[in-house]
Amino acid sequence: MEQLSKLIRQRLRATAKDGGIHPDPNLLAAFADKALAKTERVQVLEHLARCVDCRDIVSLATPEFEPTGAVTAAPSSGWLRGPVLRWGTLAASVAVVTVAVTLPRHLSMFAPTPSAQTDSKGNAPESRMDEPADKLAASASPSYRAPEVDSVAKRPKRDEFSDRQNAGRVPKPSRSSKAAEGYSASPMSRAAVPASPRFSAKSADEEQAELKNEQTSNMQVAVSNEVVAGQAKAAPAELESTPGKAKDAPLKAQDAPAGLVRSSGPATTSRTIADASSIKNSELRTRGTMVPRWTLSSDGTLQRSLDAGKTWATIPVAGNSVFRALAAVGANIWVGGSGGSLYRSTDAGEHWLRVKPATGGKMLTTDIIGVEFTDANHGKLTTADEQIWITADAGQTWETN
Amino acid sequence: MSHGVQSVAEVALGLESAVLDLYSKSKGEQLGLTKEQFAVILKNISEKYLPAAATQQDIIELYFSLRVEELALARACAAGSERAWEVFMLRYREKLYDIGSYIAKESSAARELADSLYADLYGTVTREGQRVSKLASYTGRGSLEGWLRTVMAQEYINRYRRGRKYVSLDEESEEGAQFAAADPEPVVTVDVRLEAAIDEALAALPAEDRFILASYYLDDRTLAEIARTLGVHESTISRKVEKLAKSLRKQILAALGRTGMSRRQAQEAMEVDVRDLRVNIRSRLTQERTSSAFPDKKAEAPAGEGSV
Repeated sequence: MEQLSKLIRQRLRATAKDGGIHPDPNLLAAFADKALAKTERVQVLEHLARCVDCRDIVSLATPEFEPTGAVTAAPSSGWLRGPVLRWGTLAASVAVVTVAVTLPRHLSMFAPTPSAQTDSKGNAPESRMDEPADKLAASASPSYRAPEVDSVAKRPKRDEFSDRQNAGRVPKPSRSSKAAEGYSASPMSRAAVPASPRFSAKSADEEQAELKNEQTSNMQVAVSNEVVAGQAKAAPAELESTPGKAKDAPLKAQDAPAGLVRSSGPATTSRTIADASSIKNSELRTRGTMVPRWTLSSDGTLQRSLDAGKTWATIPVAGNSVFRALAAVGANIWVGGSGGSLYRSTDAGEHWLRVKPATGGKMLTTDIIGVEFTDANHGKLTTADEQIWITADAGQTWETN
Repeated sequence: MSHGVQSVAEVALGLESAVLDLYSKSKGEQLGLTKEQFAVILKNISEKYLPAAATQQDIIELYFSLRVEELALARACAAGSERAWEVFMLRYREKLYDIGSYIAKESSAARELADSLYADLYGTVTREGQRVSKLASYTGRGSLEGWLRTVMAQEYINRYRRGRKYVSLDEESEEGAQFAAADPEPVVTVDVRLEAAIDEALAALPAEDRFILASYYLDDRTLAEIARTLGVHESTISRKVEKLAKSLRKQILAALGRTGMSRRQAQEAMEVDVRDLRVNIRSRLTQERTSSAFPDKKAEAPAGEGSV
């Protein structure tokens, strides 16, 4: 096959033609926006197949993340609304559960639930796998089910090309909603079905075995779950399952303790979080409008939406900091950015406190590009120069590599 | 924007209500764009993208697919509306720099790129004292932000790839590194029958498949990047590339079989030693088809628009 790729490459190159008339930028932009109808799209692709310059342009013009502006400006990007919102939120909660189920296996630094924190700091042994999951199932509300989302098992076999895949990118929100739709279409969308106590009564292994059988029978589910899993993987520590906490916080949308975070900056590594502890499918519709969503604008300001993404308000945090990373766990919001600036709000963005990570005489002063919090206390910062800072007490003390 | 003498009804024969509807949606009035101007803009756009024989239904469909609000903003800016320019600045000024850094990945080049585009957008003043803004060429087919990305990417490609021969070697190694000359991979094969068979198999593929192959094999893009461009999931592309490679092999073998080769000969032809023979690529290039994917009328960029 190696020889064949060489031949193909060679013939592609030989038959490539830089000439011809390039599509005008409007059409290329519309192509990148996925806004072209079939005929024109094929015409553009026909040109792209032969024109390396235009391929480069389209690739450069395709944003890595859905631009923030599109939510307010573009009529066609109403993915936050209506039924998609329902499934999108569901996907978020599925992602959360996925993390809960898979985290221990990945020997994560972070415990998925407060109750499991005691055995955090990695090395959750395989034999205890069922414990956090059980606790999760027990501590979370009935709808917090969906243990069938075993993301790892469902990832299709990777092929020889896998070394060239970029695993680290967060799928676009529209894709996750697509995933959710696929999910809904499948007969297995038990995540949406009100609870059964079945899971906690079974061992995780049994559950998995059963799951694997189911998986093979439904490719669509496999695909959709992979998206979700990808999301979860990209943010290995996005989890919060403390049903009581959000109620104490002076959160505006108090009875909807689900925060959905979108991120937009290329350097950002923050994302979706939902304390979806008590969301039932039937309630999502009505609650959807009150779920606070968080995002960082492309110029590094923090924005919050209380109407499911229709409008975004800039939340003043402090000074001239340009924020590149965001984590939201219920009402606890963390933002980090330029020059080691890190701020925390415990009241959904009403008040902010600067946190200055330091340990053993060393201060964090480089740009923060990643903030991940698994609960109110446990979090991890990543900096532009690849330092990792970890706290287990809500930022009081830190450890770094 | 000096055609404002004709009434909307005259400009938009039979489409008046649709045009007025879109005009109110576009909020162009608040930006100083008259409905007559707006009607002319729409008409020009339909002439640009649709064949002369297009039906009213085609035109209406095109109109309603446009980003009219962003279109009105861009065109009002181009027409010199201060109000529109303020709105544009507010929404896109910072974005330009973000886009610049996304594209150029290096801060001084990014800034220069953004500043240069900004100047083009604001417009250059002609001898007659008229300002000509690049925003006048935005047609609302995609988002304005997407268009800004595209024109900046175009400019970048122009500068750093086409212009590579003009920059010093030092600069090239810094800024043009990602456009380093294509790998001098030794040329394989070549039995002309095999070449013809490959060409035939490639030509039979849909445009999207050829795009994927070119992106993957020629541009060395990752599966994730290709997926992003096409708006599908990475795994879809992964499966597709695998499938394409398999089916191409089959097609090529079949095509070779039609030339009278035995299966074994055909397989051997495909395993030919790399160093044995060289093919003169240049000669293949000159005989390559020259047909354009776009009829001149559609693809021709308006004067002053920086087509690559």
